[in-house]
Amino acid sequence: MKARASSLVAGLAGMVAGGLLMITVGAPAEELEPSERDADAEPLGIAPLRPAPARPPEDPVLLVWTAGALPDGLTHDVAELPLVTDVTVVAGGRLDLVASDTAGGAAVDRFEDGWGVALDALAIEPATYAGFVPAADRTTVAGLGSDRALLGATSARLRRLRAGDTVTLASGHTLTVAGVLDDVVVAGAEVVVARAVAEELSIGADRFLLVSHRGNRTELESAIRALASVEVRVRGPGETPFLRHGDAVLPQVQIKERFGEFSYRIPSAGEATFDQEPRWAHESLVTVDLPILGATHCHRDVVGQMSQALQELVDRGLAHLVDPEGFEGCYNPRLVTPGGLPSRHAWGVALDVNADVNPTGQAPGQDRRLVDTFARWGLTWGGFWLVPDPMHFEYLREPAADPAKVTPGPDAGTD
Amino acid sequence: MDTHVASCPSCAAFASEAGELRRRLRVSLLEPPPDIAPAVRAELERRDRRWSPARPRPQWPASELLRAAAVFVVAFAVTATTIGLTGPREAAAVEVDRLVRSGQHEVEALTAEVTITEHGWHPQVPTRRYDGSLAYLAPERFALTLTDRSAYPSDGWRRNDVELAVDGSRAWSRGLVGCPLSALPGCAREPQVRAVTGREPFDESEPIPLEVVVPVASFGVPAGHLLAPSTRVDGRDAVVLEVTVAQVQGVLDGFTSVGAWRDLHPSDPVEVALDAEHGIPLSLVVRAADTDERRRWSATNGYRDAAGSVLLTWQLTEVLVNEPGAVPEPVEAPGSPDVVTDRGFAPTDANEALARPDRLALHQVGHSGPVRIEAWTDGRAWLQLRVHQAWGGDRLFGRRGDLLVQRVTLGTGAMAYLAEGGGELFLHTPDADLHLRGSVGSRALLEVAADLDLEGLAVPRTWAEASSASVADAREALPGLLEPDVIPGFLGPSVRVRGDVVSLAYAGNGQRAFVLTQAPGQLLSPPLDADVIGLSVRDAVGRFTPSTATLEWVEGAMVVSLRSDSLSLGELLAVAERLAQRS
Repeated sequence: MKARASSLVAGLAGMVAGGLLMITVGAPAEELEPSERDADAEPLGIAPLRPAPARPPEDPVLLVWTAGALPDGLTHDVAELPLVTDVTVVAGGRLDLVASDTAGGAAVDRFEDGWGVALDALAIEPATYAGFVPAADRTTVAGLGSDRALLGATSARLRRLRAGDTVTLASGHTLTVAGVLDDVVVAGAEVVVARAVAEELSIGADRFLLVSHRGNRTELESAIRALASVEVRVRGPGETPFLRHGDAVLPQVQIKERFGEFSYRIPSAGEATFDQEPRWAHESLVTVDLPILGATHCHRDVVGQMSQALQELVDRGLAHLVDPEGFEGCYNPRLVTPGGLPSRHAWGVALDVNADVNPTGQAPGQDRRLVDTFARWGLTWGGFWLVPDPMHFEYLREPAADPAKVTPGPDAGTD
Repeated sequence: MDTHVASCPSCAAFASEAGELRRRLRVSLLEPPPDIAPAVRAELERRDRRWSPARPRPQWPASELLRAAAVFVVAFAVTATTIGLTGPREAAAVEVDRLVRSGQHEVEALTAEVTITEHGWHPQVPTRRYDGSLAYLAPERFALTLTDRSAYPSDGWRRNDVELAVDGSRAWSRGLVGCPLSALPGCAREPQVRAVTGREPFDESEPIPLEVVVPVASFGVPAGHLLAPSTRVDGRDAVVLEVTVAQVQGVLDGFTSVGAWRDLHPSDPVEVALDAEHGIPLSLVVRAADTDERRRWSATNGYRDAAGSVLLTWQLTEVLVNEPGAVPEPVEAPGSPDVVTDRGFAPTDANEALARPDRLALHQVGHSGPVRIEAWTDGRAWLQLRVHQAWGGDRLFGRRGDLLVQRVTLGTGAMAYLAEGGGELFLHTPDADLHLRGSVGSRALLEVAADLDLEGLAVPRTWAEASSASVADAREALPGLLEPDVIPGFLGPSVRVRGDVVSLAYAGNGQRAFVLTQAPGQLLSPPLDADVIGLSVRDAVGRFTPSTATLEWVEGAMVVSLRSDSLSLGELLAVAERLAQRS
């Protein structure tokens, strides 16, 4: 009885209080104390911010790649895994273009003897790769013959070529353009050929697998890692824009589109440096005085964000994270490795900092605040790569806005 | 500044009125004594007229109380729904922010005993327990002492005892310096003693932990929380809310900024009980969030937190508010500090005050190098004006990091810049650059700025804030711009437009904030980190990068990213679902 009575009292009290409260807060805004209200704080919505569950994408395709060539037998072994429904293997390397012509025989590009442009090339098994492309492109991919090539859309635009035109390579082979496909379909490559001619064209080793599967992804990933004798990187849908090896950096064709394409004296086997087209270098490169680092020779279109990244370190009192003595430069016309593609340093869009204590292939020693600052200004870090290159930061994208309320630097704005 | 005052009629008028103004104010200036207690007693006695004796509180049986409270809440909600003029939730939405905003004006003094438990700090020390006390006297005296009562495996482990004292221009602390968990106990060194002199009032670098007194920064933005008391803590009616660590980080920092404590994840849920009369945080219970990114964070940082397990509790008892007996205990200054910092503030004649904020009393005027500083208070509420007459930077004077600002026009037509979160306002004038900060909300800052009657200008084109824009500018720069509806607990956006890249920054209670960035594009850039997660976002395939707390996807030929250091992936996905074209 006592409990009922108190509940009754409480209920009545609640009704009265609720009614009074609504009458009070429902009053026009002008009647409230200005200092108790905030003009910018009026909530129009009423539902709280309830977390939504994270759902995986539905498309069950995985990219699998390793540093360097895929281990022998990995393709076969992966294909045998119970969860795997299909596999295709792709080789990658460099092809040197020395000429191109329209289908009617008119010259599009011609280079001096011994000169050309480096193309990022992939070699596919047309029949199996076709299973991983949109239905509209399957016939074109599946029909790729040994004397044909596919171009990515950006590559075709840079080359000023279309289906039916031809490309002539330094090896002497001339390939007819069988089609121009979306960059995503050709994994960001500039040119795609059939694996049957990969060895003849001196395209390098097998570099990645595309794996379609059913069932649990984590389980499959574990199985693939167990099969490989080296570290494996696995990416799923949405995680990277181009399902290909070296997925942490922009494909070369996008670097060309952003910073221009140069011709070069084609390096011989074993050479790592090259002579670069003087006109491109003259128009593209500048020497600027970067904060902390001093005079630096870089591409004119990237020095702004490099400078701002370094200035932010200065502003936040973090300049000590970069040792000017450990700076190994920006522009350097060389290949990543002999026989490989040109380094991003050849475009002057990468910096090697604190190199003395961050040698390639060793455990990263850069301060995370340095890495995060560069990332905010659109420079990605080589320390995350399968073979870490922790001294290396290269252009990835335009600067993004920072999150709200970043940690302020000491004494900001006090003098 | 004198020249400026001479050339500014309204400023000169304020200066001449300052004497009278001071006489009308109920708080006068105090010279900080070496021992707090006598001055505190004297001050409390002078303010006695504002305080009422402690009221007797009914001692209801717990079960009956709970039952009655439940009935009260239901009746309250139903009645409010029925009578409400603008809807029941909107009514509830204003209450907790009103509680803390009014509470900060009411709390002049606070003492309490403190009990803390900390779980999962180290595998060999699964639980640490602390007790101690806190004492606060407005405007800027604070003392916190915590004694570590934990059982450690051996004498090689150092106790995490904490002392923190702020006394106007002076502050000092004594506590352990953190070291890697894996290196404990060998890496622990003697507690470090830090001392600060010349501290400016409401110093940003050496803040007094006012959030443990009344958490205005944590709850000042309306978020739809109910006011109805649902529990009692230490005999006081309390409102219980569930928020996140990011929202009450300021409260947590109040007692963990000194010493070596375990880390918490920004998305960890926190149950907070706020005193229903003044908004004082009477208790907190932090639990481990149950999400994949939280588990990943645990593994990365060496913790073994089970989802839902209690990580930290904070409990006040013997709470005395504005009562003559609530005298803070004296705190001894350390004998020989390891680090001494002179912040360089020197008080000057308070009659020269420029600003005249409503309801706030002038606390102090002075200089720190070339910067003139005025501070105003009312209870725990405060406002600070900083003026630089020779600012040579290429950004707004006083703006920290990459805080986004919103360009606003004052009632006088002057231009000003309001920081995200509304707690700071900046003015660039022909004669000086001004920085207004405070706990009183953006409206009060805008009113004070307008009252100064200065010629606020747009920043030079070369300054970082030149790309600050309005939402209308953003919509024009990027047709099809996606924007969330207004989210409870968050303020409207600060906007930056750089070419066709548009960033909208939304700040909320505590440290909760996110930035929405959009730019034309068909593809995401390659991942910045080895560890990324593909997922579905708004029926598109997107990507979440845990290390940068960024959710990205492509929609309508635009690359969209949501980034936040304080919201969980689930909350970012919830924000994403609320996006739509609003123009």
